[in-house]
This record gives sequence, C-alpha cells and structure tokens, in this order.
Amino acid sequence: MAIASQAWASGNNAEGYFAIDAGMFGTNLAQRFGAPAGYGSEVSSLTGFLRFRKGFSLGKRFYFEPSLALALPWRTNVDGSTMIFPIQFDLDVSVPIFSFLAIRLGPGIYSQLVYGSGGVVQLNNGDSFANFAAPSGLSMSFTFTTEIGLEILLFHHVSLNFDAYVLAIASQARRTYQGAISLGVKL
Amino acid sequence: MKRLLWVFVLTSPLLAGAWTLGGSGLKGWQTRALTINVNPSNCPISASTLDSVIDSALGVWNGIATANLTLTRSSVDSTTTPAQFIAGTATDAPLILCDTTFQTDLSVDPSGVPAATKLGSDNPVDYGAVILNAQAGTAAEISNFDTGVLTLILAHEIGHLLGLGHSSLSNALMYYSVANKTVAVLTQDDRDGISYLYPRNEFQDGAFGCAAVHRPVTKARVFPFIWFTLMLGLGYALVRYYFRAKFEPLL
Repeated sequence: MAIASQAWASGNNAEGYFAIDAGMFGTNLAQRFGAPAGYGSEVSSLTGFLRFRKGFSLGKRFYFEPSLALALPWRTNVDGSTMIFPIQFDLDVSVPIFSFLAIRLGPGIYSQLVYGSGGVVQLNNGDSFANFAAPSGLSMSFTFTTEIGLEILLFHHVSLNFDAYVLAIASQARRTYQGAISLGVKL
Repeated sequence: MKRLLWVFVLTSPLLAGAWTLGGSGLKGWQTRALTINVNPSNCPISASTLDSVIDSALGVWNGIATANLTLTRSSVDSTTTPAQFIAGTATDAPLILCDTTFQTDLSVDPSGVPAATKLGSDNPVDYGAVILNAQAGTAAEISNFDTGVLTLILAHEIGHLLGLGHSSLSNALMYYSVANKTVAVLTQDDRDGISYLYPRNEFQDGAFGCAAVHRPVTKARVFPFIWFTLMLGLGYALVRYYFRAKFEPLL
C-alpha cells in the first residue's frame, strides 16, 4: 500500500501525466447480456482498446484528463470492402480519492467512421441468389457519451482501468452502454 | 519478430459482418423521422394485432444510439391499395399494406414468402412499401405466424424499407431467412448498416439522445438528471467514506 501511495504520487505529479491504456472494448453491453442464447457475440462487438490520456493538474485534487481511444482492430465485412472505425474522445475530470484509486467522470463523443469501397455482393434472397450493393463512400456518426471510470493503481505507474460509456443517456429507447477494461502505464 | 506480430494483430481488421444496401449508392430516406402509413384492410389479422406488431418492429430500429432515425406509425389508417402502390400512384409512402393477390402482384412464391418490400427508383428514397402476404390458403400468409415471428418478419422488411439489403450473417436480422429465429434481435452488423445510412450527428441532431424532433423540457424529463446527479454525489460520498474508514489507517 505504501508503494502504491508513492507510485500514485509520482505518477500524478504537479505537471500532470501522460498515459497509454490497452485492453478490451465492448459495445452494446446491455444487449449482449440480455440477448437470447447464441446471439451474445453478435449483438455487440468485442475488440481491443488503445487509449491515450493526458492529465492536467487542476489544483491539488483534480485532474483534467482529455483522452482519445481507438477500438482495434477495426471492424470490416467478409470481403474487406467496408471498414468501420470506432473512436472515443473524452474530456474527463479525474479525482484521486485514495492513494490507489481515482474516479474519472465526464462527457465525450463516440464516433463511428464507416468507409465502403462499393461493389456487388451475391447473397441468398430466399428462392434464388441476388446481387446486393456493398456500401460506398464515407459515413460518420457522432454520439455524445457520458463516461464514468475507475483507475486502480496496481504497481508503480501501472493501473487497471474500468470505463463505462453511456450513449444517448437521455433517451430510454436509445440508451446504450459500452465499456472498456484496460491496463494503463503512466509515462 | 514478436513486435511485428503484435503490430499485425493489432492492426488487422476484425472480420465482423456483411450488411449490404438495397441498391447501389443508396442513401436511405431523406427524412430521419419517418411516419409509416398502414392500410389494415384485407389483412387476415386484426387491426389491433397488426398495429401492435408494427409498433414492436419499429421499436427494434428506433433503439440504435449511433443512428439518427425515428420511426412512428401513423394513427390514421391509409386507404392506399397494393395495386395503387405498384402502379406508382400512392401519395402516402412509406406504407405497410396487405395484399390478397400477393403472388400475382409481386411474382414471388406465396408459400415461402410472408412479406416483400418495394422501393422506388429515386435516391434518396421517397417511395416504398412493405407488402404483407394476405393471399388466402398460402403457407406463408401472415396469419400463420405467431406475433413474435411476425414482428421479426416485419422488422426485417422495415430494414429493407429503410434501404438495407441482406446480410450474410445467419443471426443478423437482415439475413434472408427467419427460420430458427423467434425474436427480433439487432446484431452489430444490422446496427452498423443502419448507422451508415442514417448516421447520427449530435452536434446537429440534439445531444445525449434527445431526438431530432425536439421535445419540450418537462418535469418527467428533468427528474432523471437530478436523480442521477444526486445518486452520483451520494455514491461518491459513500465510497469515499467507506474506503477512508477501511484503508486510511493502514496507510
């Protein structure tokens, strides 16, 4: 515990910090856990998660912590003609409440970039096969998120992060939960 | 070598799905708030059951956070017939209609096809309908399905009405067959497809899930925010008190 205390103190120094987190990112978590048997892995996507955070000291107790996270690898369809890049950008405030634990909270933007190179896909159409069009061009969505996260200091400069992102928090029909578990290193 | 392997693993695309569009370069409907008109006449199920099934099917597509799409059912019944729609003279599209001459009008096998969707040729789409099989004595006439499967069928057809084609994923709602399915479940593949056609941009469309069709601020809508903030504050205070009491003496 004493080691953790020293590490936290040195990681979150007066000049702030820069951290890189790597772990797993899941979309549509409520749907994933509530889906009928056999659907779980398809109603949501589970990918890698890479995040860059910069903490700026706001007095003694708070850190302003903008971050940019990417879901890696990006999603694509079977023939590779469509690529989907999920990106999460946050403007959090991180509050170290103990020597080993900090809470971060703040608004963010979840952006999904879809790029398709077009073409034709032949698919079953019931009683025959038919040609369907693959998407072409770029489409981008921007959805505001609310993030709440926990950062638990494990070792010197190494932390375990739990992050929950709520999309469309004000809409009961659209509200969606995404989450990430990651290991972070403060540089 | 190990580093190279990790770089490859982290940057390789994840094979996920295969949603398609109903037509080349299709952009979906111009409006993001679509009201579906329904003509319940000639339907072999009651109007109330049909309305309930349609509402459930629309609800499936209304729940996508990354899509800017609001689907509602018109409360006024349409009088447009399938023949008028096929002739291109309908004035209240998008529509849901029941067709007693399903095979003749659509040239499909009525023993295997419970519904079909037709879109106009304009892009963005401005003309389209879901036509339900109401042809008496056929195996796929809609009264032969329970409401759960009928919701699934309608949700699939509404996906076509919105501009999606089929998917190659067997669990996707937009897979060509509903066999072995009992409930309408959107997969990530379906969500990605509809988010491509109707991307949500909350810088323009209203933030934090408020719909493009803005609703007035009421007590019922403000209360959850106040409650959430209070609970968050209370939770923070409790966690802080608990950890302080438990761990601070050890530090």
